Amino acid sequence: MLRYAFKRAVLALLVAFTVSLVAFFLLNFATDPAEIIAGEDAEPEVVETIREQYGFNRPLIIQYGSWLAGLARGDWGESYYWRKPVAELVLEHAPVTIQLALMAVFVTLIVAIPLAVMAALRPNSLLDRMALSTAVMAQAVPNFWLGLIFIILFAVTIPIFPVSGDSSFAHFILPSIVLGTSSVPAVMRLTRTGLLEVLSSDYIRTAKSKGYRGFKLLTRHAMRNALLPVVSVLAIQLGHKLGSSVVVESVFALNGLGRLALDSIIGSDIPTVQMLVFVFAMVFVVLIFLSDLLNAWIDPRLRLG
Amino acid sequence: MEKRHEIADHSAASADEVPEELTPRLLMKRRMFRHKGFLLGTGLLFLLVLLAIFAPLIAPFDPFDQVLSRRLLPPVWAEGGGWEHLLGTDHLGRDYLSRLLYGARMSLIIGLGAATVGCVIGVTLGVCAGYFGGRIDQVIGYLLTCQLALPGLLLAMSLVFMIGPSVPVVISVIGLLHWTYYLVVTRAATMQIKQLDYIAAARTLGSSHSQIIIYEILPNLLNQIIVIFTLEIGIAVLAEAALSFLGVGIQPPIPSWGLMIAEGKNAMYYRPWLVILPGIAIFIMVISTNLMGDGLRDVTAPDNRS
Repeated sequence: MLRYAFKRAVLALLVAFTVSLVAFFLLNFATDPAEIIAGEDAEPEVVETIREQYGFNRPLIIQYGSWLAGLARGDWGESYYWRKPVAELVLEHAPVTIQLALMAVFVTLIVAIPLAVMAALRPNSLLDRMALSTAVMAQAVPNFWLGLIFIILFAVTIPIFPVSGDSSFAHFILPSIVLGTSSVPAVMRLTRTGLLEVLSSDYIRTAKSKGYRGFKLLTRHAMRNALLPVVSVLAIQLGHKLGSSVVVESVFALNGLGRLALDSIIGSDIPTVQMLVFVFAMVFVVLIFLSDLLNAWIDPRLRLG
Repeated sequence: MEKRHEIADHSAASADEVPEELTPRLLMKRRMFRHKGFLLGTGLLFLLVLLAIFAPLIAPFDPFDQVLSRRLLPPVWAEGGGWEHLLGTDHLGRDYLSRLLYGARMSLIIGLGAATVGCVIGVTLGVCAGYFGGRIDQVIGYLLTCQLALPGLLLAMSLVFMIGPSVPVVISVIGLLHWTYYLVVTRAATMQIKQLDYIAAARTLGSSHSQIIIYEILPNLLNQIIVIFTLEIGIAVLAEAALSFLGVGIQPPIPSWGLMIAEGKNAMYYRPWLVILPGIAIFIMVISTNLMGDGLRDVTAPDNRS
């Protein structure tokens, strides 16, 4: 198990750094940071001075190296746009996004799992068909549009939830429903397929013949195996939620990492965007790492892989 | 579903004496015309393509024409709406129906373009990984892991906005970030096909690797590639809508559904149609490609549905 964990951890770190390298080169290829700092219509000499001052005239690979060295020292760089250390910015905005992502995953789970169980217990029933076709439809609804429809509904017609800002728990309810429902189809389909497979296996037949019925059969025998793939998908979805929170945060005016990302992009603030790409990739990689470990812990066969 | 199995088994078992109308191709056509989701999706998509192509002929107004005296008119079924502007006008007095029609063009161009870019990258990598295996497979597998860890939307937003938001840039960036699905599927399929006898036969006849890949393997992957291509169109349409909505995709005054929602947002409390209509348009576009893609998968490979 330790050996397996170590191998996975090395791979995860490697991936996170490759991603940050790619992001660094892509962003620097996309735009010239010296011109952004100098502002529009700046004299060429001014741009040149800034380029030398900030070290933008060095080869990209060396710039990346110094960015990495800073990262190792705990220095995440300075934002040109916000005129603040990037670390401070990220820490300031992180709590909102973390709360949003966690609540969204909770919404996904409480909608997707019961639906999947009910659908799998009666395959091809009316409920099963309805659940599946709702999933197909839900996948075609743009996230931000659903958010706006919620705002129209809940601000005008039935004003129960606040629709803008992040000052209280209630402010997170609508955004997390919008963000959470977007991954219901994937999680539901996967749980349903997994459960159907498990329910037709020999050991369930044995359990049934031993007298297990209904809820107990489901929780004690079937769900365990059916949830294996769901663990991985949930980790992936949680990672994606952090990444796609930018849309929902923008719609509901939450001041989280997504908002910070959007504003930094529009301000062409490479250090912040670069750091956010790295942080999101890192979180994603860590989540996948944890879900791999969790799966290996549940199913020892995986440890050999 | 069991019935279909019977038909398929029958045709496989007695391939020599099946009457002409039971060739696999005809069986596929039959399944196609029986698959309701596929028919609905294809029909809707066909309609959307027609509307997009003939937008200049159908649209009652120029989508860029601003008439400031006729701003924010409601659609015909709402109070105060008129027949002249069927779906009303936006905040600059532009005819909403015309803008929606031209928006279909934008969505389709970007969807098709981005799906093509992703297809070229993903299929190339997938076939290489599956065919050559070994080191090459490992490297490509590592690439895939990295791509999955990338925060796609965030990177797409920054790249599009910083390079300069234009249609070709949006297409390339979305395509560049959506190739993993092609890779996973073509890799697995290539690994299976590689084992078949006819590939060994081609090898013995002296075909080179590239000849085998192009003439022997790719034609056999075509069905799967088309299925993914169709589904990826929908994904790209959603991605473009999100980018344009956030202000880092298609820029005004070009009509794009995502952008129209962003523009209508300010007036949405008293003119909700400005937000609702483009959303419905996106929904129809995406659901038609999804239904068509899912249907194609059922029709071409009824045995391995998940």
